[in-house]
Amino acid sequence: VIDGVVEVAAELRARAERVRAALRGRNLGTLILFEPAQHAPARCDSVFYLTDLRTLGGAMLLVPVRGEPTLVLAPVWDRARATAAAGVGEAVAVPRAQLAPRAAELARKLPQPIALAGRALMRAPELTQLLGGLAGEPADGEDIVPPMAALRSPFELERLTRAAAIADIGFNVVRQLARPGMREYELAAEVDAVMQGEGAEDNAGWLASGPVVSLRPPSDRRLERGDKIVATIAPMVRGYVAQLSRTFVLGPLNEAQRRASLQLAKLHALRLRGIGPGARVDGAATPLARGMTIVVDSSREVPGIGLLACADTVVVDDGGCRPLGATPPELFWGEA
Amino acid sequence: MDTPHPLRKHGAFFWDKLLLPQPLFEERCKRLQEAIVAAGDDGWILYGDADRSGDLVWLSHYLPPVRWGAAVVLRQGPPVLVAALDPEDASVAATQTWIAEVRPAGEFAAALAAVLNDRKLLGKRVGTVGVVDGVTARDWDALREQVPNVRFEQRDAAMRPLRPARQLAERNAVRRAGNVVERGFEIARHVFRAGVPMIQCTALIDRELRKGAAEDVRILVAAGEQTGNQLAPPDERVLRNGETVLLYVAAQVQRYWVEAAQTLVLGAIPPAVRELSNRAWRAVVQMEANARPGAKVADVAVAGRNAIGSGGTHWDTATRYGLGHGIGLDGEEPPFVSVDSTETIERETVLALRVVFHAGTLGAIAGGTYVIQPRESVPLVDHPPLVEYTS
Repeated sequence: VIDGVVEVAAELRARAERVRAALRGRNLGTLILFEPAQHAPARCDSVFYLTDLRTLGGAMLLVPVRGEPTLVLAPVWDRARATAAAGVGEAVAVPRAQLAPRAAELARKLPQPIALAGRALMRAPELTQLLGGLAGEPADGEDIVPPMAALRSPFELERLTRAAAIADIGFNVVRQLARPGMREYELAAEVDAVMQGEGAEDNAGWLASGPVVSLRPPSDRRLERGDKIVATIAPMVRGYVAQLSRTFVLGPLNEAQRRASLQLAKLHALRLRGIGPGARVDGAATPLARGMTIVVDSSREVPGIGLLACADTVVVDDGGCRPLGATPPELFWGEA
Repeated sequence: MDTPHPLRKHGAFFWDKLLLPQPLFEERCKRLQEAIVAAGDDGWILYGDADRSGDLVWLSHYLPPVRWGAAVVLRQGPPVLVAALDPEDASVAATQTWIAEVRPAGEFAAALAAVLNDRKLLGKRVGTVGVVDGVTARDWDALREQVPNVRFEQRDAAMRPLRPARQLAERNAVRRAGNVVERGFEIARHVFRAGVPMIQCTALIDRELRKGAAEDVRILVAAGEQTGNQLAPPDERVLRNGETVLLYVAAQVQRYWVEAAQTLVLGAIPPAVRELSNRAWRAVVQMEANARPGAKVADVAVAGRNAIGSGGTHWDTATRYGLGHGIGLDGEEPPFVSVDSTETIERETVLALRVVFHAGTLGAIAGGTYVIQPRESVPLVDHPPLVEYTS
């Protein structure tokens, strides 16, 4: 069992309470959070954070300073799944075109003033509908949830750890099944299928071979002996994505590749040693804190070899950081 | 049908030039430029993103795997493609499109403003397709701010007549997508087993479709008591003997979407499920039989309603999912099959038709994709609506 429903529900109630406390602190009555149908792995999905539900057709979550949150979501047939989600008190399912007007209608009856988060993700018609339906211009609520969501709770870490383990399995599929003559997309299909079978609901990864200049979706290129296969494998488990990037050579490594592999491992170890509470990654404004998870990416272009991918998802802990996966940071190879 | 959007499209990304050769796109561009002239505009912007990109793909064949892309087309001359990509990825994007000039871009507004400036469209009238409903309000406002003297006119309606797949190459592409989805249903007959988590079963269907060169795959299911409630993304629920499985599959191959649906039973089919499935399938067949060039879309929906029975649970659940819609370069496109529709069906329209029932603890689903032709429509997925699965 990956997580107990009771534990998740209690955590989500606590999160909603933290949002309410933030609203009280700013003299706000209700926070409206918008999430489009198109989810993105690098963006904080505030609606998911408070509901544990990955919506299909876009959603607006209304969190009043007093009382339970209400989720307005599309499509109209997705209400039962939403109602069963741990963090949803009341779900109102509507056609996509009705999302903003219905949310505005409900928000008008909730404590005022209103704050809005997710405005930059809204398309013009739905933003116009929402603003037109509210009593006044909403306050900026963008910074309420993301700071709370930056630290991982135990159940989140459990999901991420499982996602990282599935990413390890996915990369092993590359190592075991890559053969000359196979098309890139066929190999990617095998990786996806195995990871889905292990419980991954999506994969934000790409796989490319040959003279790779960048990561890209898999093409119809046939693998050849000596090819370099660059794989970013990023399975999602119950809403949480862990990324693993590695390079596999279809055939024995040459001397230059061996040296590059050793250098890459050293570089990655060095980078990992620099990660810990208080550290700032790539000039980030916010220092790292215990319980955060980040992707440490040491991928680099090596002259004569090309892109060598090496990235791990790590959790920041007291001692620095700990990779969630188990794949060593090296250049892999297999007999063609 | 709404399904979970992938974080990134990660299927087979390539341009099959034998299937969809460059002259097809050049001819499309010519027709588009005629439409620009007819509208009295100086150029058009066609926008698409990973969620919805049919107009952009129709012209360029470029499918944004993440974020967005836009083509700027003038009355004459070659178009330019702007794609939300890092500069080092522009060469990869160039392999997906016939458009010679591909500009990698970060910010939508700045990139489009630069192209409008370079193409001498400042002070001119520019039509927009997929922009107003696709671009975020912030980006759209920023673009208008950066080029205040460009007069934008929404041209989505003028674009629509250009889209139906009338050429042989286009019909072949649609058929190929149908063949891939059909293979998924052939596999489905063998993968659902008692004692196996649903997500492991659908993983095998997904693999088959992706190995058939699908760019994107969408699967919705319901099993056991779920069949009385709703479809949902596959999860780790373990299948049991005697359960009914509702299976909806859609795939995109060389940019064309096809979908179909089926009811499977893990064991002998209970009479009530058979009756429900038959009724759903009859409704699909009736809708298909009434979908002919020149027919009113509303009449297609009425035919479905007559087979389903108006009022009551069945009609309610069927309409919740929608009875169908056009399908092609977008998973859902006009016309939408509804009794309120005022549209007419055109020749070579590709229609996805479906009926979903949830009734108490039971459920059934039936559906397919059809190329509408004068005498009889052509089903793109040949699959039985109801399957009894005995291992």
